[in-house]
Amino acid sequence: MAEDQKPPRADVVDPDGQAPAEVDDGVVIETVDEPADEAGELLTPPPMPEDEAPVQAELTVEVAGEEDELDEPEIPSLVGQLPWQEGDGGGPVEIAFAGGKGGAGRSTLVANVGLFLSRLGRDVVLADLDPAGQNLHTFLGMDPILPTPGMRMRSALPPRVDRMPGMNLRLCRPHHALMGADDPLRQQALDVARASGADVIVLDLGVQPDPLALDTFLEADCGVVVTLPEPAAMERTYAFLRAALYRRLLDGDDEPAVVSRALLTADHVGQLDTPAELIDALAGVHPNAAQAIRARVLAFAPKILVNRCGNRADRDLAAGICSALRRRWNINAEALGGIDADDTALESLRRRRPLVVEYPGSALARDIERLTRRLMALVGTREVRP
Amino acid sequence: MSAPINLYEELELDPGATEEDIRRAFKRLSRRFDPGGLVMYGLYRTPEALRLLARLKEAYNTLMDPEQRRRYDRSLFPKGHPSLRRADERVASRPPPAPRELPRDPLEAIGWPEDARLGGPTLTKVRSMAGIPLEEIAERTKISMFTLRCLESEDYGDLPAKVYLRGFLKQIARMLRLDPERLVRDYLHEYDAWVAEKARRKPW
Repeated sequence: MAEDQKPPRADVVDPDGQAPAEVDDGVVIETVDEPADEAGELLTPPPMPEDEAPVQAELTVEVAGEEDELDEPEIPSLVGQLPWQEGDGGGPVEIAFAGGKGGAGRSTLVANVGLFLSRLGRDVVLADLDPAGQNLHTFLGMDPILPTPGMRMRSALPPRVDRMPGMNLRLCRPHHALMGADDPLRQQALDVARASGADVIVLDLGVQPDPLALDTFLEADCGVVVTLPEPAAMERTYAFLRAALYRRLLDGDDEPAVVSRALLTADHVGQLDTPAELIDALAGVHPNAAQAIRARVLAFAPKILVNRCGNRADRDLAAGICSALRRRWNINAEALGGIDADDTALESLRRRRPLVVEYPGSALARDIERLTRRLMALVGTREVRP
Repeated sequence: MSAPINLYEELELDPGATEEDIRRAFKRLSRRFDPGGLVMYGLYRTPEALRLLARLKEAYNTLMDPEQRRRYDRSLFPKGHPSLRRADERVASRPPPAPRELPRDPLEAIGWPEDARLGGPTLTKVRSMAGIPLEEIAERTKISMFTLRCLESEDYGDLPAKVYLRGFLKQIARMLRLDPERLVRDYLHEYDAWVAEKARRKPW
């Protein structure tokens, strides 16, 4: 098992930060100081040796105590078999979590899916791009950035990248805790994450449908919207998806978008209600544009995940949302199912320890593992780009 | 491009779906797309949601009527759909012989007087004329064999409560291409008379 856990890529930045080989100039690579709090014991690396393999092995032994039989047969078969390793040359795979409502469990999922991916042998970078405030470090048990007044003045300060001790996982975040919607620092952090040489980038985009979040969501290999089984969250989810769809259809400088915008401007009475009606109207005046818009609609394939389910109807909700989206907008949304409500999420957050490390045997950890494997399968095929 | 497409897609079903599949799908989807439900909130306005429900209902009614469904299938897949052929084979492999097609007006075919009341004997006659065994009605309508027998022989004492009778009679009428309203009216008229008579004789 130790051999199989070895990081699969050679160009991983050294954990001690001395060889930031692939990272752009000026990027700060830091290791987290040994956490002084009680959360430290499991996450604190043993004295960091030159190569990572033994560390990972030790950590795995420690962590896997309760699920040895669960992981052991699967890890070796996954490593090295993933499609993106077989020379598709497209850079890292991006999995974006967005939308829904604040408090829907997005950050918990990003942190723990990232941890699971790293445990499955991937080189993972998490990017905290939530404009409402950074939180991912808390879910991982890492230290927050406490901006000094001086730091606040230096808007050109590059994003900070920290390695999680003992894991093949890095966290990339802008230095400023207070960020506006159009903050260039978020874009910088995204660029740094993309240039990090990781296998997989897991992005926390927050709930705001701002241009950066929408574009990143649309470009990701897999865009997941996390929502809750209650009306306010449903409304926000549809609002985010609508914003993303309209951005894809209408915001470009290309001909189909320009023609569509002209048509919609001329539609004073607001007759065109859905993408389908827009396409029907376009077909009369500009068949090529209609075709292009139709292709864009069909290519929009967001994934829907309902968190904190309490009953069967809740667990079925994701499928219901996708079926409604197909009927209303003709998009190919895909249901990722439901994750049951579980106190261990809050409990592990209070202890500032990652859930899958603190409660590896919990139902929630197993749900997250299932989700992670499903996501890996999804991004394995390029056609599912949202 | 505008959404569904055909009645099977409307109910998210395969064209080989059984009546039970259709019933389940309709139940599930009308709950899912309830205008006041979670799924619709923030996506559909109420009138549009109601239109969606109406389309589901229409698809359900068409596909649950064997004759209408046959005609619809023929128009949808002139050469026969693979899964439809499979469904035909499934039906054909059942022990009882395939029922003869019902004539357009079964009452006329059995020579039932136009103004005579419809009742249990009518059902028996139409059924035997078309060669539909009671078992098939029981399977399609999910009404028990015992109740069906009592309905046909008009053993009012063994029938379930009146509220159930109405639904049962409608279902059977639809299967046998009788006028559901007329059957319910005539049958329950006799039934009510029997209840009143029983009460008169044994008021306690």
